[in-house]
Amino acid sequence: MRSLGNTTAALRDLAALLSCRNFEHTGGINAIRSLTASSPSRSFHTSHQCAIPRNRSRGASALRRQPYPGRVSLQYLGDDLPQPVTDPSKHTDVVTSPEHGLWGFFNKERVSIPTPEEDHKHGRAWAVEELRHKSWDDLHKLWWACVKERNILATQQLERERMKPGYGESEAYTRDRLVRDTQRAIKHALTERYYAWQEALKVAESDSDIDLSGKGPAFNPQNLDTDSSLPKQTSEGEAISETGSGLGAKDNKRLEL
Amino acid sequence: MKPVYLPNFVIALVRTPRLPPTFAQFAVPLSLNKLDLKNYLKNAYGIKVLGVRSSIRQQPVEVEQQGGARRWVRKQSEKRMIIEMEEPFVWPEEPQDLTKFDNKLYKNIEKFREDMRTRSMDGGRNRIAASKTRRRLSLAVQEMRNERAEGPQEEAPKEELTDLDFDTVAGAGQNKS
Repeated sequence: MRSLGNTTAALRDLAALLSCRNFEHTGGINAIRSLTASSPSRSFHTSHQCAIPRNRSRGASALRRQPYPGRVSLQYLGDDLPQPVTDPSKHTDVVTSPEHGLWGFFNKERVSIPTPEEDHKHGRAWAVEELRHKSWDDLHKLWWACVKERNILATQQLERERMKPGYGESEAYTRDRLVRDTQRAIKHALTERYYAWQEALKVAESDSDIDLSGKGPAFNPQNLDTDSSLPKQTSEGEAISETGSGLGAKDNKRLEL
Repeated sequence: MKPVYLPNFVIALVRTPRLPPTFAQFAVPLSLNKLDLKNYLKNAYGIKVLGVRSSIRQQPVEVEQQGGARRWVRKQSEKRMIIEMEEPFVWPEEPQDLTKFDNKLYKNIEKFREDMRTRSMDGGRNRIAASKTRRRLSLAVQEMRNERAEGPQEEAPKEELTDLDFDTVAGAGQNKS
């Protein structure tokens, strides 16, 4: 097999060599002929002058079906081009949508810089005590309200530094301070909640009634009161409903605050 | 992607009259990248961002005076990002009535401070004449008094207050010179 392969390769090489020699040979003859044919009175043109008429479809793309360039005029005078409007007063007005998302970087009145009086109209920051009873969703919403308010204030501050209309920086700073206080209170409440959860976990590990494996119910009371009578149960139910209503009322109060 | 529940950074929209209305520029913290901004604007503000270009601007070197010593300091660089949006947005106009910002008083005091600064530049040798500052101050006070005399009576107490403030500042400047 190996010897056969070698012989075929050698044959192929030989054929290639022969063809190459042939080509070189003819090329050499042609070159000599052209040299002898050229007269000394030949014009000084370096470009190739073709005696045979050119192929008419030369340059045409078979794939793109384009005609060859000689038939198409590439000249364009540009008479019907639109003229640019340099006068800004003649420009068409750009209409900003009232629902555009970038309005979120402006206050309710949608002014670039509020006056110090407008900036001074604000309440106090949220206290930790008020936030302790809020759910995570509420706290998260409040945090994002704070983030957006701070973005608004930063936008106004940049504009104030650029335009320098006068006073008002102090009022804006006070507002920003209160927003940051609220954010601090949110983090305070959440940290407290986390510590409370950690403590509860520690207690639950030593409690035999609580199953922390995740299989089945977490709360398995071992010693139930078997001799509990019916009236006692109803009284418990009443107590639960009372506490539930009490919590509801408290929550309503806080929401009103 | 790691979810961020409590983002604690601030971005500000910048007025850019030279940019086309479909572009908006933001001043962002250095830690923010293009993908962050795109995601943030999409989820928090509902803006569909087509493209973001960002740049970091180095701040110039400034001289910081620490008593008698001088120090060359450079502030932290600023990062700006330009976004391309689908819908155009045009900024609201600048406030026209600047009386609510006490613009006059602010400018007078700024002028006075600038004069004091230029005078203190020669190291307390008083080579720059103090009379120029005094002249400008007195002119400003005179202008304010004239306005108070001509102006409506309702705003008189406020004007008086600003005038009083300015007088004390002017008096201090005159005593020193």
